[in-house]
Amino acid sequence: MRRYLHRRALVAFVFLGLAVSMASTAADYGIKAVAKGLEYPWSLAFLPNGEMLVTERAGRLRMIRNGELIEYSVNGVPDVYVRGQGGLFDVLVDPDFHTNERIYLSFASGNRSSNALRVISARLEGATLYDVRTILTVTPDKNTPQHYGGRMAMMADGTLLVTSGEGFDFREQAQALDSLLGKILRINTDGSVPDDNPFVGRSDARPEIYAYGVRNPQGIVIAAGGNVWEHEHGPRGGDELNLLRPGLNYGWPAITYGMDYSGAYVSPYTSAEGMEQPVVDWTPSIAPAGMTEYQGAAFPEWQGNLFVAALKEKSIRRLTLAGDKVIGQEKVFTEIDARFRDVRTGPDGFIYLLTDSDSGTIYIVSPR
Amino acid sequence: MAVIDASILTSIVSTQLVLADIQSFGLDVSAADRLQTTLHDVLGLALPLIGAIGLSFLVAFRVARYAIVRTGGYNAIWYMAAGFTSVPAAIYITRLVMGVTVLASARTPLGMFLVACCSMAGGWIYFYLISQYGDAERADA
Repeated sequence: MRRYLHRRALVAFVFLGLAVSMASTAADYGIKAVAKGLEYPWSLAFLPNGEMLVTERAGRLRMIRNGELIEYSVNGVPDVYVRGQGGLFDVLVDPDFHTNERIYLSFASGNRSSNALRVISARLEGATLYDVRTILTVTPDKNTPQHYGGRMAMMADGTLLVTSGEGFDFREQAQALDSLLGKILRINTDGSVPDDNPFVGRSDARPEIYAYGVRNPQGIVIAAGGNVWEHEHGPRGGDELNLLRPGLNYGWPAITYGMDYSGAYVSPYTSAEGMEQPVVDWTPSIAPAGMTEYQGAAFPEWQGNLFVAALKEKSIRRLTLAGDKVIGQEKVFTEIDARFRDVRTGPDGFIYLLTDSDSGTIYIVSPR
Repeated sequence: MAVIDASILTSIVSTQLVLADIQSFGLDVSAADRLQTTLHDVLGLALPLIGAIGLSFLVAFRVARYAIVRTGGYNAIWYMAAGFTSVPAAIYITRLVMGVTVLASARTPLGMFLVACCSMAGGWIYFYLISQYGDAERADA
């Protein structure tokens, strides 16, 4: 009798688990296009008044007001170097925008022989940028139009994290602490360096460095619990999701699960002492290009999940977390059948998707 | 044969340069790892290298032949010079189009020089083969 009760309890437990599992995956949603015809939209930010800012890699900052894409673009955006993967990248709204009206833009600046990732801060008044200040220019400059990184995230203490790619031809610099290529950088919003950065005071290292050994990081999120999640493109395979900690080395190009495009090894090693392992390795590559942590009310079953936009896989990856670990992955929104550049959580709790094409679209995912 | 030899040489040199970078990061590269990586890369790089070097040699050796007919001089030198310049030229053109260097070892001046030496060796092998087995005029003109 006791064994029978145990078995019943076990069966009930399994069914309960299945039910919880299905509830967490089977959200009922609808998808509709908010804006179309954008030239390689790269990032999206929400203003307190309900308007949205969209960057186009071609160098334009656009606005969406009352659900309509405004025809003209925002004035005052600095000159952007548009070639290869270069262009206008991320847009971030200051948490105190209602008082200081400041936004942050990251973009490629310079020219073919000398270009770099740059971050500016500016005051947005109407549809014009004023008081434009350069707060970061990655050095050394480079002569390739690839691997800029370019994502930004604001930490709880008001400092800015900026992802910097290694420029493709300069991959060894990801391991060099006197270079800002292939790094996660942390600065104050006025461009100064926070005193508590991990390499402050070291003569052989740049003080802006927060973490190093990254390739082309195009996603960074500061989760509600304080964890800093970053993802980066690997070469052929070896795309990574990393949990960032200050001062740590994430291995590129000394260790990697990816191969060079030529068919040769980048490195024969996938692990080494003093170098961090990815939390997730995506081999073959999915080409992760943007990320959000869902913290909205519209989809309670997705609360705390990471959503990763994938260019190559033409999907959004929904990652279920348990503490510092990823315990489940699911491809969602594949019915759109497009390369995804970014994914954001709106203040309305809906999920916003940006597709990557010369006529890109912003989709909104809301409960049905 | 010249293309295959140049491809294998280029692959071996490229692997050693990449492994030197790995060592500069503080990792030990054992002899077994070096051998395994070198063999892997010879196979991994075979198709792209044979294609790229073959195309480069096709153009460069025709130019060398034309130069020999027009100006004379030491044939071996012409073919070696053609080999030495052809692959770096192809890498440079690819870089102009794509914006990046597709062969990792050729990103530095030293790497590019060594790659050029490998293709120069291919030029000499080509000269040797046609002088031994090809038509005499092509080798001795």
